[in-house]
Amino acid sequence: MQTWSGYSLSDFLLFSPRVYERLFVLLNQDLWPVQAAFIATGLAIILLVRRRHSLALPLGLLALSLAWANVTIVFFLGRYQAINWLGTYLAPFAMVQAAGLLLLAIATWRRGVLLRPMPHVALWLALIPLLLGLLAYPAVAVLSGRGIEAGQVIATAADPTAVATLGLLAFVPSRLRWLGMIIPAAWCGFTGLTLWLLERPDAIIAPLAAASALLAATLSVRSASQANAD
Amino acid sequence: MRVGRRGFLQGAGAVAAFGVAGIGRPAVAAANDPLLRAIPSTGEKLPVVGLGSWITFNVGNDPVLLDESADVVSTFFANGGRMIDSSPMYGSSQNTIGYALKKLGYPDNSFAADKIWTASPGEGPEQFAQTRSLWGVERMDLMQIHNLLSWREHLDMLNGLKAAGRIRYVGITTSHGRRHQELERIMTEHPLDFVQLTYNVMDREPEQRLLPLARERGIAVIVNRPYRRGELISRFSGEALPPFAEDIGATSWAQLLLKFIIAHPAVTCAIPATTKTEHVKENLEAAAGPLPDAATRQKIIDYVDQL
Repeated sequence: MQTWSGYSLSDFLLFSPRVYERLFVLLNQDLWPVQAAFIATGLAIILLVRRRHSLALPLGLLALSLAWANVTIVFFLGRYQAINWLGTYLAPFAMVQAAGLLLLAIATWRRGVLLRPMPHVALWLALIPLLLGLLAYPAVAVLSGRGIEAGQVIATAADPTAVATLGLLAFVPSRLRWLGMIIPAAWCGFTGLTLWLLERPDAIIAPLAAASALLAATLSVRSASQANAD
Repeated sequence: MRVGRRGFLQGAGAVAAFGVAGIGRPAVAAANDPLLRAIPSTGEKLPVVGLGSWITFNVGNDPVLLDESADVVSTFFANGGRMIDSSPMYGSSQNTIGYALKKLGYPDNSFAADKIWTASPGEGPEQFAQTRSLWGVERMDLMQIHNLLSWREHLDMLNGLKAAGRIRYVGITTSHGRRHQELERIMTEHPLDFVQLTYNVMDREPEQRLLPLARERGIAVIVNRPYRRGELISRFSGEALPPFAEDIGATSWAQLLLKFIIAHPAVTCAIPATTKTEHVKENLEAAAGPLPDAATRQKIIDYVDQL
């Protein structure tokens, strides 16, 4: 323990705000225009969720599985590990998340699992992270003056992907949802701390979105329990 | 890295500047050359201002920022700087330095200082090899043990490399005022060429034991975090410089804070990090002018304390 006890949180902030901002600028330049397809896919999934379509859950989980796989390759291994050696250790977790979501997608499809019915408040608490993951991150980049080219986009950057994953998992009517939430929730905490150390105003988004999704899942479970008791 | 006398001094035809024997002794150097101070174990002289790379050179594979970093390194050498310090902990900083050195044609006056940063003693030699590869050099001038991590094992390894002529100096580092008692014990019980520690106008604990011990034991001192990663400059930038700043040629808070550090006779080299070429010049200019004597250093402390 003596090895690491002398370090503080700020010791692990290895890069400047400018470097982190330009990481996404270069990432977006490399990938454009595929980001538009990712956002369009996400909006289609949200539409299916709102309409409670029978394929909303398996298709959504499949899309997010592919998103995490892409995030592992283009973000963690392609860009992030170049400025933070932690990226090398985080990439396998992202890949595990991709595999887990794929298995969950297959299971929900084969068993015909439908979206968990939710009380109105819980429904919106779960939809908020989904919408934030799809739309808020590019919007925040514009509003904060960093420009659309510096925006984080779902399936290419970890933050919006983790946030949206938590939102969709809140709809999964199985205890496996909690297992699936561990890695994205941990990332939301980690990225919140990172952005806070970088003194970025958007540091609060991922932790708040994670809390919203976790609250939605908790409320829906309680609602289901009460319904069973009645 | 070049081992012999520094080409930049020969080229300038300048008389080598003298090491400072006591606080406040003014530099005797060619105009604009930074003050030199001797490494006690060999007598080799180094400019008292070097270049750190924590955060500033961790720019990944961004081509624009790599070139900006190379400009900083170029300006550093052009203004008489020599020591660049890095660590495997600093993300892509080693790679950035290697990029800059290659772009500049490997200046022969560079002094390459890096660290071993691994808890596993077995990984030390491999990390050293990777460091040389990233810098693009055959031999490192100074290798240090980062933050006392597995220091016993790594010290044996580095002393072996020194004996084999693969490095020239061995050192050990700490920062943020951590583990000073253990560092003191190591300095007392083991032969070292360098120690690296945090020392600035707000973090003066090393004055009590470590800096006097370094003088007594003939150990060169590298000072990290001279501005507390810019915090001190930000904190004081809205305040007027003290009236005596002009007497020691300090035209900015950065220069005043740096002069305070390098005026201490035990300090061999301070290593501020920056992404701006104008700051590199400003730092090296601080080392080219007069330094505060003991009384003026106390006045700096008093002035800063009342802000």
